[in-house]
Amino acid sequence: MMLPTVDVSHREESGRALDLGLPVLTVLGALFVGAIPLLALGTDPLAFYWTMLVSSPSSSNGSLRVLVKLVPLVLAGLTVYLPLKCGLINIGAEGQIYMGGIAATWAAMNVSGSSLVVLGSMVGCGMLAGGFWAAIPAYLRSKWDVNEIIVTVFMTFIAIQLNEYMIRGPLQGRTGFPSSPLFSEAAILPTVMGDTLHVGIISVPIAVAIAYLLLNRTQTGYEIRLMGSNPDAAEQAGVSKLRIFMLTMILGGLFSGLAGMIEVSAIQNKLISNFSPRYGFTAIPIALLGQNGAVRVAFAALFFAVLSVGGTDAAATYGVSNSIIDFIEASVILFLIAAEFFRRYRVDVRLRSATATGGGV
Amino acid sequence: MVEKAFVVGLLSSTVAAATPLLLATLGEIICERSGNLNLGVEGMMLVGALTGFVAALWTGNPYVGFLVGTLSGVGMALLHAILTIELKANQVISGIMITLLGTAMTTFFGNAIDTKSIDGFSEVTIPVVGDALLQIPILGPVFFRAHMPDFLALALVPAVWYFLNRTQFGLAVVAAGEDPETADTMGIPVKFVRYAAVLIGGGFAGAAGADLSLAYANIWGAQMTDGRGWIAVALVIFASWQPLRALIGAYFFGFIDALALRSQTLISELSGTGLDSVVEFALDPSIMTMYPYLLTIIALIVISREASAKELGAPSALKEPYVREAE
Repeated sequence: MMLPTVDVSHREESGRALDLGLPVLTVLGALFVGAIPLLALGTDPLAFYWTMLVSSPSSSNGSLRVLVKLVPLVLAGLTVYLPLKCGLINIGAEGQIYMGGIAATWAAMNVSGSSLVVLGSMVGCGMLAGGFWAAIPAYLRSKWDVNEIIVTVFMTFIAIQLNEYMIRGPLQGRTGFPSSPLFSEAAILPTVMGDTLHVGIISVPIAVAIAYLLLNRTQTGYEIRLMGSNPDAAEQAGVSKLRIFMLTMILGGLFSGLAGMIEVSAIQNKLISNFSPRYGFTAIPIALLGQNGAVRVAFAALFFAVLSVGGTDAAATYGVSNSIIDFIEASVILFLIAAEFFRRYRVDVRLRSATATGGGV
Repeated sequence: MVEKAFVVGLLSSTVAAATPLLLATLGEIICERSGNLNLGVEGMMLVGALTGFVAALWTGNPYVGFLVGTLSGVGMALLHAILTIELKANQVISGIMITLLGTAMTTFFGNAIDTKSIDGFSEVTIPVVGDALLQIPILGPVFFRAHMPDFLALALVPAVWYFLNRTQFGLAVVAAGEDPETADTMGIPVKFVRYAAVLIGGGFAGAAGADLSLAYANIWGAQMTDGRGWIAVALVIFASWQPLRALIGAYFFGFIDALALRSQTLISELSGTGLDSVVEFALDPSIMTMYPYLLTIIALIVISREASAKELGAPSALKEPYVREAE
């Protein structure tokens, strides 16, 4: 008698097909699950997905809005991705975004001069604040082995509360309104190609190139990857934990600080409560989806940007609640966890004679 | 001068704020003692809060809601258990993803009932001796007139201690978390024990969430847990994996929470001392909300510097999936 048997074994290395195929399957699986609430609401999922993934993002206005969303998602995605490469889990990108926004607002309110001077100091302050916020957990982890996950989560909550304090206190504009004053023209990033897309978009190719070159073309990049794949070997080879941890975390913090600056300058034109719609948390699935390369992080971010922009349009077109986007995002996450298993283990289903295995029960 | 009613109010809301923290922390202690780190507490709490609220809304019975919230916490934990115990996924990543999943799912499904409110649990007293106990000044009304989950959480502190230290199953949980190989040779079904501990932990987290929507707030709001699940994870370390110390930690953080709600009163009480700006800063509600996070980070630093995790009482096999040699 022939019975199918399932063998699970550890994978030494994941093949190229699997490497590329898994993220695609993850996304397809998520869209499949997302169809369930749509069907329940009586909406045609195919038509909804067509609007969400094709017609809205490919329209001239939609594509520009996708690019605008891409900026914070790529920057925050790299913030999680870089430390992940050396074995650190940074879930504090959201806090680093807030610190960047707060510091940039401080600069906008206190620096005067030409647009170049004001924007330059906003970028500088925002990035420094983000980098500083990331340096603390990195230092604590490398010096005293303090768990970086809990510290980055809590520093995010602290940054969000600091933002609340600032918009009602030191950085408040008009009394009674919990926000900073509206920025002057000089403190707002100029737009290109119409008035949707802003110049912050140039940070996307630059940040991806920096991350790619650092990881793949430098000795330090090799050390980062070694630290992530085999920490004992890395330490024996004399790689400094402090240097690697600080470098990846701070570089990531600089990116998220910049994202915060861009968000307050180009999108909100002032500092407000909850100015980041959880970009720093969406960054975690983005980094996991693109964990095999900086360029893939950018593609994962693009998918989430399309999901956000196209999803909003499709939800409006079909009269569905906007939070369907959250649901599809959650499904992506669910499939991501399952995909982890297939990345690390090999599952063989074979037909084998039952007697040869010692008799089935 | 601070009035007695203020003190009673402050302490009563300390109890109310401590209960969800205590429930979630006790559950996480059981889970971690078995060798499984569950960072999905926040997500499990949110799911418990929403499902519990919806069930109470439909049935009009908060007890049914509490039960449903607890069970859906178990359901979320089953997902974590399958992923980490069966599929040997990274516990940290699975937990974080479950938190993100819980947040996204509850935001989606909770959208429809965002504005509804319910009566929730009414305050109860202990039968028979309740009226006598209420006569105790201050402490009477604080501890002996509360919501059912408040009593439950307090009763669970010695119960969880007894479970982990005196029952056969509890000792098996601890053995599975300390030295799974030895436990296995002694005939303890490590995998089963870990499944059970993760599911119990999830049930506690779901109950903690249901307490938030059914007793603490009586409404549902997206992301209403507000980081409490993460505080519970930190409280486990704070409490060195001991239920009795979890009680102290949860009540301390609950007290800060209750103070933050009253910051305006406190600021006006303490004005005119010449330190007005310092007081206003330190008692600002946003600044006060930071204190538990700041304290936890400082505590983590102190703990990590002074002792290795082992001396702290961390289960030795925490985060290690158990793979049986040569089945």
